[in-house]
Amino acid sequence: MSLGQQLAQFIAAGIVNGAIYALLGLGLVVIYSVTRAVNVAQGEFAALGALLAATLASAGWPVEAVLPVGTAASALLGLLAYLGGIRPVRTASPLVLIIVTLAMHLTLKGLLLLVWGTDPYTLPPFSQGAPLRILGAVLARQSLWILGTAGVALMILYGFFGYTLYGKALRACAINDLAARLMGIRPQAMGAIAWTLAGALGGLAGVLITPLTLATYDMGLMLGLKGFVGAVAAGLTSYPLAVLGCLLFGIVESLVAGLLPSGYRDAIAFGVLVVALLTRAVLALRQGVLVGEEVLSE
Amino acid sequence: MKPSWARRSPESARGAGGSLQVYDLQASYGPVQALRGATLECAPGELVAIIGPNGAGKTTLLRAILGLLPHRGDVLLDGRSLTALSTEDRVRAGLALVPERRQLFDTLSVRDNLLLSGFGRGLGRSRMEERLRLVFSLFPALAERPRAPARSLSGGQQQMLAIGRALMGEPRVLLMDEPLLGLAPLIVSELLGLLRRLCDEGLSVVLVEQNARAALAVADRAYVLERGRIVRSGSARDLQADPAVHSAYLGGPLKPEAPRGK
Amino acid sequence: MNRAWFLRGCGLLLLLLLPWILRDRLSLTVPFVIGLHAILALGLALLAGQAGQVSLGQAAFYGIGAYTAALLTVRLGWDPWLALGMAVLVAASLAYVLGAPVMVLRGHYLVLGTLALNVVVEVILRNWQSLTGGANGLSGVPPLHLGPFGALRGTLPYYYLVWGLVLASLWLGHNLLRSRVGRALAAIRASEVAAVSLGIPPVRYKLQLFAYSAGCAAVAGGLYAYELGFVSPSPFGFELSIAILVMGVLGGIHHLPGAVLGAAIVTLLRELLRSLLPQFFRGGASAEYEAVVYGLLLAAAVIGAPTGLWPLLARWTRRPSQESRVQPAQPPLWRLNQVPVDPPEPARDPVVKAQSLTKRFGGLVAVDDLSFTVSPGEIYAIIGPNGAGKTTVLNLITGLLRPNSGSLVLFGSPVHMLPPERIASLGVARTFQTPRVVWDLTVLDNVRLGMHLHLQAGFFTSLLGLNHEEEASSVRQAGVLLERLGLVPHAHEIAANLPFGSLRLLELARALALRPRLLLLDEPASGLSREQRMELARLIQEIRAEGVTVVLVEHDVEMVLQVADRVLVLHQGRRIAEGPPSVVRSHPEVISAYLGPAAAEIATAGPKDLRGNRRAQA
Repeated sequence: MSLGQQLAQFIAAGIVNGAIYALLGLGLVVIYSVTRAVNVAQGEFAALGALLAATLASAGWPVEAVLPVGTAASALLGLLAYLGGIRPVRTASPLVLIIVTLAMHLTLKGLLLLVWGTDPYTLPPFSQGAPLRILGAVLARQSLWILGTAGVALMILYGFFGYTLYGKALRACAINDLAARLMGIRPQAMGAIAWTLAGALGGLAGVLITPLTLATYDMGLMLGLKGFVGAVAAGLTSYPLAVLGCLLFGIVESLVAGLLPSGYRDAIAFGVLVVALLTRAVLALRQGVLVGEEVLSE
Repeated sequence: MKPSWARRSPESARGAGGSLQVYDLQASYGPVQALRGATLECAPGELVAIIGPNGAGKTTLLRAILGLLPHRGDVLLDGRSLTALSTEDRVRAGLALVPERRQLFDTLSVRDNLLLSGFGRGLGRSRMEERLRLVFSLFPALAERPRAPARSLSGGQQQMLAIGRALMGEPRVLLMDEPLLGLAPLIVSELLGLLRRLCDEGLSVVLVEQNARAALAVADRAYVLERGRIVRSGSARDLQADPAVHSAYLGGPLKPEAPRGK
Repeated sequence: MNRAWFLRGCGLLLLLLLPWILRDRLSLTVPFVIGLHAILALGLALLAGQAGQVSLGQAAFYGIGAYTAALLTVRLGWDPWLALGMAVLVAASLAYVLGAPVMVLRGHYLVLGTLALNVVVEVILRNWQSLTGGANGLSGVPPLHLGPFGALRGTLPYYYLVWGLVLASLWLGHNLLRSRVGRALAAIRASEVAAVSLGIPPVRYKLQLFAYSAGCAAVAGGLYAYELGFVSPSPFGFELSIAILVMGVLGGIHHLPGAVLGAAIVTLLRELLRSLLPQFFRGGASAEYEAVVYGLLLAAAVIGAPTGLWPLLARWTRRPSQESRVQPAQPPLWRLNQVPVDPPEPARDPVVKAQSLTKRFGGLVAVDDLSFTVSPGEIYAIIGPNGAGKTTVLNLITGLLRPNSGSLVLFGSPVHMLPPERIASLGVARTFQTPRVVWDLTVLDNVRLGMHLHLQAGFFTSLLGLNHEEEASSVRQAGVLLERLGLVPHAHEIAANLPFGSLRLLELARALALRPRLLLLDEPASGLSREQRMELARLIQEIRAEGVTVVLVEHDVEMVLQVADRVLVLHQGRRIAEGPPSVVRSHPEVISAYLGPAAAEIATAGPKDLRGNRRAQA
């Protein structure tokens, strides 16, 4: 393979991975902007969707059914996580919230282990057939499914947030929580919607990626944290920037992983995270710093 | 010539006003007790003003009525106690607050800001459209640019939007926290005229204002709040004539200082 | 008091005699490991409890410490003590480098960053086989040697060593909390805005604390390596960081001994789980279930006992009479004669020179092309209705906000790019619209916070408790200020108990403790009674007489007109009038817009006499 073809291959793979991370990153941004919680358990939503889909598929369910069911199950999990874990401590400090999501991560992982054990599971690709060659890169058909489905999901979200009152209400909660309450908007209802949505996005990502990589009970942490990298670059508040950040991260990860031995792949994510943090810090400093929020509340 | 937005609107707030009663309301910010037992009421269709110095607890009073901070004492709307309800539910019951500094959704459009208020109060689509038309007729400046983001409006227009948002949900009692701050005098008088009209048509309004002169000029009754307590109450006219109120809020200076050396 | 000392004595005795008590019955390993974990948890408690920063990286620094010590002794033949010192240096430096970008951002970024650190460290330890021995680890780590005892082998010497370090850590932490740095940290926790306005650099202190906790973790790591003689990647994973967090939260992060308690409880629980769980679950899975237990424990602790277990225990040891904070027979802490304080040097340049200042928030223009000058030694007032931009102007002067355009010069130097703590160090102090004091410090300590810039004790000096003389002197100086403002009766009360008027005086005392050349007061009269306002006016003039320039933002227009030399009137961020009060009060635009027709009456009528009668009619 020529260098150009190699590069194209890496970039293509990176975009595909980036699409998955973007779905997770979006879930993180929705949760953070509406409920102020940094959700360490986001990856577990993906893991549940993936494992459930794999089990159903091996029981003979067709792919067209497995995808929505996996997504719906994770959406339900998101809702339950909100009702059980976050709503009781809704008004607590962000520190407490992040500790609670940490606890949720550990508990959910344990539950997944209990039900599915340590074995890896797999899903057949959504459509059979030879890989396709596009712009010098060879893409498995599943990759196209990923890109397509993620693209559709993003468009639906765009429509939801931009054109429906529920979506605007979610944005309103993120913009000004006090004003939203003064309008009669119930923060619990909005929180529940946000977490359900994040669960669905996570589940979708999990089901999509399983045919390419295997599903295990502990796949969540890595996936979730990679979603974080892109979301952090977006300051955890901007949807379009989070998607962009995750796509870019996917590409960078793919390019760098092509050069380093495979054991280091996960470490790359975190090297990039540090860089993202550094950039955020520099931007914050230039704007006149951290005291901004406190000051403006005068 | 009446200003454009003092025109009679096709639909009015006729008879929509509720009664508000507040008994011995107490609230603290951490260790600082800002409200030490305030009792007041507003009858349907009344415009009640609350005046007092800065730091007296006027804003705290409104926030406590809305349940934005924990409080002791009772808040009744049309005889029904709201004390156990959350802020959102008090709003759904019929209170509306135009908060200090407006608190608009600044990146959302004028129209969205208004619609979200209807959405929050659970109005159906057609009812929302009706209320939207009402608000636009009261504030034509908003009707001119419904899709503009709220932050691009001028100060006066933002205040109009804040009031419009509050009116969207057909409130029974409208509470306003210093709506006249930072507004040009012309807009102040227009706004006061609008409030008076809304009351005449039946809406109950509680107006907290720093600008005592303007508030007393337009109110039916008024209360004076000082350091967390109601210290005087009565009809607006009586308070305007009261020498103590007059000297404190309508332009009385401190004891003159000894001449300063420089 | 007696009960507490009794318990401490018992605890110490137990520590000393434990090896003898346990001999032949149970291994000393677990108490040794509890000691190691206690050091890790103490570092976390300091960081989280004092600086409000949650780190999930203690295990990573623990591992870095262990491996650095191991590598230097095994591969390079270094002396174990030197290697230990190097391990501390490496961990602390890494913490400094990693922490720098993170401390500038909000707290949850540190959680993510340290999470990432855990992963990276683990990956490197497992994959860089040539250096670290990979998953099999490194063996042959030599033991420490200690003079007459020779080489320290077995668990016993390390047990005493580690617990000696635990006690030393408690002592160091205790010193830190009662020092200038400890007060600064309390201020940062209570209100970063207030802290920077007093010249306290939040990022620097958080970083130092982070580096310190990393260094402590590294020491624990080294001890682990030397005791075991072997290091491998598995003990240093993410799971341990979580366990340390549980220890801290369970014990109570605001109380240092709580961390030790938490370490004991969780380590024992861990041992219990490790012997029980494999009976129910196969192989590596049991480690995962261990993590589940931690998760549940964490959630329960955070929701059920948010302040931790230690305060509950501590309450039991205190006798009822000690609950009240007022101690009647308080020895006088200061003499009442004046401690000489240098008056600020008289300035010649204008104190404040603003030119074309503009500040926008999104679409809203808060300050619009504003220019004004404040001369040395004057009382300069800024008035205008709410929303006119007055507080924004103060925030621009003190550096809390950066102007979008225009320039700001204080005492002849341009300041618009300086951070607020640097501006404070130029001699600029302020008070706030709503008092921002540290609620859980005493009045005395709050005032001493104002002296932060004039005291010297740094991080290490504070840790080692070498600041006694300076602390005593600061108490004396604070006493003088308290006396001047009539706060002496409240000196040892915590600020949370003060009435509102005294809170304002406290903020003023704190601002004066900074020995400012420029004092900015943000609506100091609001919430005060008539008598208190008069007292305030008198104080302001006294302060000016001592050579301090005062800029006063006020709503109480009449008070301002009495006290100020010059007045600036703002409307919607723009200046509409400036000049002496007599000029401003009769300025037509000002009157009609802000003071209202009644004040126009006053302006044309002239001042009232003492009985409130008008002297002249319009």
